Amino acid sequence: MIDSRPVSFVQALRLMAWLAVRRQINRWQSLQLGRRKTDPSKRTGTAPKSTGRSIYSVFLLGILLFNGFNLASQGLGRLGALANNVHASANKIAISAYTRQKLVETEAALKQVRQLPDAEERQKYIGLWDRYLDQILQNEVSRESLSEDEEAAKLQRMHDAFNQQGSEAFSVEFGSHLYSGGDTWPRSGAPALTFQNTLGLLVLTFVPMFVCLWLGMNNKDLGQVEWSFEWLYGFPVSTRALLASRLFVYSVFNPPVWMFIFPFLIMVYFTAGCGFAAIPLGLAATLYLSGLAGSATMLLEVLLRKFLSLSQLKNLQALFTVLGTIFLLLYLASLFSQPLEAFLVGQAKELPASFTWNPLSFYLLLGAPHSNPAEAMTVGALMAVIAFGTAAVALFFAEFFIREGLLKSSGPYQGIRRQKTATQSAGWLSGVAANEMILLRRDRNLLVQVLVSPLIVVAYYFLVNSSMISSATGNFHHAATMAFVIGSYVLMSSAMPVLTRENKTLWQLMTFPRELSSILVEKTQVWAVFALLYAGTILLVLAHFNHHLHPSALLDAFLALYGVGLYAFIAAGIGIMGTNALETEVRARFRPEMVYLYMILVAMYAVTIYTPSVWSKFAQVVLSTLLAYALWQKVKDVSPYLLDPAEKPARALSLADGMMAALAFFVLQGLLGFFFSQSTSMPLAMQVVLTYVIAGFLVFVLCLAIFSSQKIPHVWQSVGLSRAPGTVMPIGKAVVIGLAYGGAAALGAMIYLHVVDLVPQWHIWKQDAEMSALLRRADNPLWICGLAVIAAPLFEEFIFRGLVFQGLRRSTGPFWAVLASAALFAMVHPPFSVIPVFGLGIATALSFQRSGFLLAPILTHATYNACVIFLNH
Amino acid sequence: MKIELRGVLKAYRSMRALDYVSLEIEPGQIISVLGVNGAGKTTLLRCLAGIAAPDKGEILFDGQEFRRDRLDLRSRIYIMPDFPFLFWEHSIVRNIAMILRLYQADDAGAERRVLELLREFDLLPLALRPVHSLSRGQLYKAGLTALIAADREVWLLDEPFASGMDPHGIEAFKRHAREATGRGRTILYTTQILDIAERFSDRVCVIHKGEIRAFDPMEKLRAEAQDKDNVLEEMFRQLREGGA
Repeated sequence: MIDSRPVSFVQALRLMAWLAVRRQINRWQSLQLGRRKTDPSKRTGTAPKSTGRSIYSVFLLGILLFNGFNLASQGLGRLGALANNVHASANKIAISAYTRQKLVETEAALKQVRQLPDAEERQKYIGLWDRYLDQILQNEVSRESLSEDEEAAKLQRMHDAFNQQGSEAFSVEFGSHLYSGGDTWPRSGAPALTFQNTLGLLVLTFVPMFVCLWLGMNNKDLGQVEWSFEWLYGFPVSTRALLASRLFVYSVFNPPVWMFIFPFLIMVYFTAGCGFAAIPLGLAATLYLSGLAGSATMLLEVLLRKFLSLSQLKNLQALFTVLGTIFLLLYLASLFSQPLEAFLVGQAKELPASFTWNPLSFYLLLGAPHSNPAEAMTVGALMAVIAFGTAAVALFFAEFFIREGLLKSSGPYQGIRRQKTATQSAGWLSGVAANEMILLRRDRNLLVQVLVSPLIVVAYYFLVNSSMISSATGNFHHAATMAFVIGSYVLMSSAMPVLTRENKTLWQLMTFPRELSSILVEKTQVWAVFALLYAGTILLVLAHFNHHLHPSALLDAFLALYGVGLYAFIAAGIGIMGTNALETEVRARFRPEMVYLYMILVAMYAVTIYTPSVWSKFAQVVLSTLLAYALWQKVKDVSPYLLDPAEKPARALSLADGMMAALAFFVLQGLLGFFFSQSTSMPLAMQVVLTYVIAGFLVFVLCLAIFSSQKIPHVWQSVGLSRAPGTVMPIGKAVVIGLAYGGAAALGAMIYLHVVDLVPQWHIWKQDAEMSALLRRADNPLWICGLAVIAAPLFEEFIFRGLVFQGLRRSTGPFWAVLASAALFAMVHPPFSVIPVFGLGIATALSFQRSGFLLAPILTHATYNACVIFLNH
Repeated sequence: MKIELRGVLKAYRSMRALDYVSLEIEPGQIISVLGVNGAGKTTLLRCLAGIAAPDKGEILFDGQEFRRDRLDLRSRIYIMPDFPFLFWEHSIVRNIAMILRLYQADDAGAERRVLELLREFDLLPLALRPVHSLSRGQLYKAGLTALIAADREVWLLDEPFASGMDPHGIEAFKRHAREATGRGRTILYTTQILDIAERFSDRVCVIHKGEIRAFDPMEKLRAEAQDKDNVLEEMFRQLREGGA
């Protein structure tokens, strides 16, 4: 039975629109916090819906809306004040009401003083009042953020004005409140017009912004071979209904519109005193604007798809993304940046009243304070006419252009391909690196993210905060930090998604006769070079403009560049660990919280560029390097089994385990120490020892419990606590080696102490260290001896040799494992003892390497501690 | 529904995808459309579905001139593209429901029909999964479910046998297609697999450089051919030699 009655225009429109609404809701909800638990045995995912996620998205929406209102409110408040001031102080200097009051007083006082009969007394009082005047004006000037030269010039101008005209030369400025109120829009006269024109100028960019953002970022399939519209086009639905449903979606579902522009327009009508009517008025204005933008977007999409090839489309999409971002940032900057605000108001002052009557701004008059109901009605009617008229025209032309069907000569189904060989054109690069460069050249969105958006971000910050330029060129600390942060920012979009990007190509990489991790390393290296180029260029430019370059700048530059290179691997490592390679949906492949983790690490490193202490810089470098190594050790373990996690063998001991154990050990000590100091009245020494022993014991037990629950094979052997079955424990050998190495390390420490005594600066250091040690030891030396000779060797050797050294040893040779574990070990000791403890770290690691039994390093450590304590007494 | 093409020309710039094609297709047949890559097979299907409009000539359905705005005629035709796009974020069931609604085929029995088809295509356990999580074969079977459930008078399929379907799915599709021709449905599909075309079509339509080179029942072609076992292969060899 066939019903050949076609679906009506309205039905089709409703259906298509509803589908699109659902699509947007799904998309919004799929912004997920955590990774979905996927069963590796099942290929298919589950529908991305859950209550938790909905609550999260509502919460996020609330924050974004609040942010939009907050920004708009502050920006409008400042613009309102500026519009008033630009007129009030046409030939007067605008100052605060307080300063003006003081000036009037000073003027009166000076007048009286000048009439004093006694010349000497007169001079004295005039001098006093002059100094008072200086002070007032200085305070006034310093309210603005001016450079020293500007400050001096303005001060001079104020002095001159006061000497010539007295307080008459000054006018009270309109206070700019932190937030705008119902009276921010000036009610009458020139300021009202200026404010109106300022807003008129500001909103001009809205429609192009909407169009660019939609075509650039939101429309993912515009540049795809399979265009969703082509598929819909086969259904028995009128072309007009299809186009109209698209127009509707483009008009209503542009997220930035609702996050930024809707709150802004509500605030605009609110400042005009519309009260709660501002909400419907703002909604009407938003819909009007986004309707215009939707019509333009729909028509443009059809035209572009008809006349441009896919590669041209992709380029254009990238351009739209850049333009849209610039428009959006310009809008935000005009609510933030004082120079930009002043520029806008200055321009608006010169514009005629008729300016606002352009189709992109006139809706402001819907609720302007001076417009009467009749005018508002006219504006409203006109808005409806223009919106529907534009939509009708756009629909007409779109339909006209696809009257021949949706095909074009270079369509995807015609089997015509451009003759182009891409394999040879990568120049000096080859293999994986060349492939990455081809990707960069082909994928315009990636190109924009990696090459253009860092520049936009820098420009934006300079625009918003103009003092950043002087600080970056004046202080090389700032310059180095900036170079590092921008390099890390580049890495976020380039190195971090190094695996996430390989969506449908991962299986292909897996088939190559190479380890996947080595391919990933090579890819990461390419991005590291890119980020280094960026950071290096910034450093050079900023150093060129810096006139007080200090030799310490070299250290800063080294830290910044080393950091960028290192963070390429940290970013990629975090990105790889946070990628679910089995997930086919692009957005769900990556855990977004990994980005925050990365940003926290970047911030921690950036701070160390500032810190004056060389020791903490060294510590940060060692920690970050080890972190990168630990991450990549994991990557190497995981990468062969990305596509079939069920095949993954039981994991082995890794550096990450050691670092986690060390961290847990220190955190536990801190927590327990706090607990004991708050809740007991034990002697301090006992507290210290108990804290240490409990923390060490807990870490020891927890580690072994976790390792055996994760079925790590031969745990006891790995940490050096037992031998392979059938072999004999080399106890005698371990004792000999342990004592010998311990003696050697202690000898080294003695030499160090003598050398320190010879250098006066270091001597003070030593005294500091001894003082704090004495304080702790004073009440009961026996406890401390027990701690140093028994407990510390046991637990520290388990963590630093059993876990860290062995974790390193699994994937690196003895030389680096010894050095790195000793460096980490030294780092967790006070600065004074870093050098001897580093020696001890080397001795213990060597004795462990030689004997293969944890008893040896424990004895080494105990011998060393015993010798040092004994000799110090 | 009887389909007629009269002097249909469709050109992309200088290339003629359909070069004054004339055809008459009686209802109740399965027709395989054959031709080398770029011969114009897909263009033929797209013109019949109203996705592309002919530059010259006309297409008639039951003697009525067909244009894109003839929604009544278009709702009697169903085209399955090479890659059924579907709404990526929605489940199979929602996609099928939407398509049936567009064809006004969501009558009282539709739910039962769809359920049976889903079971037949082994899609029932996946019915609530979003489409993006399906494999290509599953995706195509989901598209076929909608097509068979909608049961229009003309079925147009682009490369159904290169769609990643499993043998069970192919068999079910063939069975449904056969049953449908019994109800007077016309089925046109493109393919490159000559073995399938030989056994699974009432008529073979061979397009070469936009022209119809053959539009005959298999029996006739077989009677004329010298190599009885490889009728179509011989024909393509001749086309290649003659047309080069």
